[in-house]
Amino acid sequence: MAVDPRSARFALHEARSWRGDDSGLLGPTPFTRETHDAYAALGGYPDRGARGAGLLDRLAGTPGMAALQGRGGAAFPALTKIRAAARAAAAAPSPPVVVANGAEGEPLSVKDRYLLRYRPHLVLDGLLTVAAALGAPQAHVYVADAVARASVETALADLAEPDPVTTVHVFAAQDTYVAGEETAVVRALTTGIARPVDKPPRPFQVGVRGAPTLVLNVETLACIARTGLRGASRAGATFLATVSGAGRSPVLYELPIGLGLGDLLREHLGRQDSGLDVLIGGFFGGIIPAWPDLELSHPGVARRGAGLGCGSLHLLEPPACPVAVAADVVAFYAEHNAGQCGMCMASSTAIAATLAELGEPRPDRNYAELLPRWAAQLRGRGACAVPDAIAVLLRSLLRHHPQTVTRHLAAGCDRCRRIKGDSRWEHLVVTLPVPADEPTDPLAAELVPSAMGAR
Amino acid sequence: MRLRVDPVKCQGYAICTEVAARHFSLDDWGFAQALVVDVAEADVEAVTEAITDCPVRAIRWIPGPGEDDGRGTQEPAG
Repeated sequence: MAVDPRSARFALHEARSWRGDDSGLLGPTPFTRETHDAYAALGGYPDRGARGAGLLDRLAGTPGMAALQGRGGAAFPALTKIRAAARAAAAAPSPPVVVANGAEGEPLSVKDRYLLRYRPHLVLDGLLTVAAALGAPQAHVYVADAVARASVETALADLAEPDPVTTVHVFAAQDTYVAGEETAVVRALTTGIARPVDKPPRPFQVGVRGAPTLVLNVETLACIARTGLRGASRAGATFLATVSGAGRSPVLYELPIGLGLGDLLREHLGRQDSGLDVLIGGFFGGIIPAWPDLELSHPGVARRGAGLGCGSLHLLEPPACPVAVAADVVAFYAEHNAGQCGMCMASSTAIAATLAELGEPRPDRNYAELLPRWAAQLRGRGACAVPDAIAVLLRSLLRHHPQTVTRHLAAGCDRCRRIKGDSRWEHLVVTLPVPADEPTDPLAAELVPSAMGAR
Repeated sequence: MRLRVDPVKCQGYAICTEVAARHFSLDDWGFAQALVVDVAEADVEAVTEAITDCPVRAIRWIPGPGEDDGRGTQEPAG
């Protein structure tokens, strides 16, 4: 992406837990790479050497585990996914594969890169625990960020002896939006092509080289590993939230699940502004008013017709226009989809153009009918969820900003009119600056394509 | 069993919308969408013809939630 990662406007330099009371995911010292010894001193790697069904039962019985929802965006129950992979593995000829998914293509989220860069052992511990529970001889860490990848490789080298059950491989993922979708992950690990495949079958049925494959987000694995550390609370009691926008430098928070958005706004902005909107869940959850009583949990956000997704919150303060931001996001999708599905390429391009036109009055077209019609047509259609993301966005505009849309149709919008057609979405990004003293992999530039789009 | 149009394969030939008009239509961009995912027994023949006639083989049956997929594994009902 043509954003200078050192630009202060987008760079994230601050990570902290909610009022300092729980830093189980961020770690005791933010922005410091945790060593093996430091992690072991917290009680890390307690399960090494254990294996088999007993371990799976023990994992299932961990407090909070049954309620833990995946942190990659889809919020699928992690234990259900693990059990489905275990059942599929019992019937399959080849042993199961486990993947730690740290591709993190969402431009507004940095939490997975943060975990892999600064807490690689927490992620590896979770990966080895789940792999041992499934009896998986092979596991992969799938990561695009070069610094994160170097950190994981160092962490693997720091393990005193190889894991008795599982060999862990590090895979350099493409830095594209769709590369982290789980069928794209499986396809990349099998063929090198990081593009989604239509479902079913899902990876737990047919995954890497045909083997049942469990793909879990790195934060999900961190949540699992954390339950084995000293002083741990129930699994998934907190989540990582990349909070950006509203003229404030972005911050990575570790928040208690269910925190009210008003409390977060008071902490983050020093005020509880009622005029804000929020682009929630990366580019996936919709644009909704920043209600102070919004409960920050997957069900809490879903109840308001939006999605918490990967946990990111991008705050929009006036005069930011929700229609213009929606146009920016769809313009991103028009450029950064996988370039495979005709319906996705055609619809994202057409909808981006339509939204971008709303700077001028459009009294002749019935958008109140058209937008929900398009949203309905897109739902569940794609090989990946990009069409669903556009559908959620269109619905959120109509449901939560009907007067804004009506005003655009009748009178146009100065804000929308001023935006240039190119690089629409480049203000919707958070970057994690490369530390000056951090050694990076010199091959990384060659391995990672410079263009974000797969086309 | 349910109907699924593979979006990677569909090129918008629209033959399915002629052979089984109640089950498929074109979206606003010219690509096929399944209107009915759960197909009644009486319509299976027409839908099967649409599946067979698709030049790019984009239409297929998929197991519904909780149904066996023939490999002894199921979609998790979560």
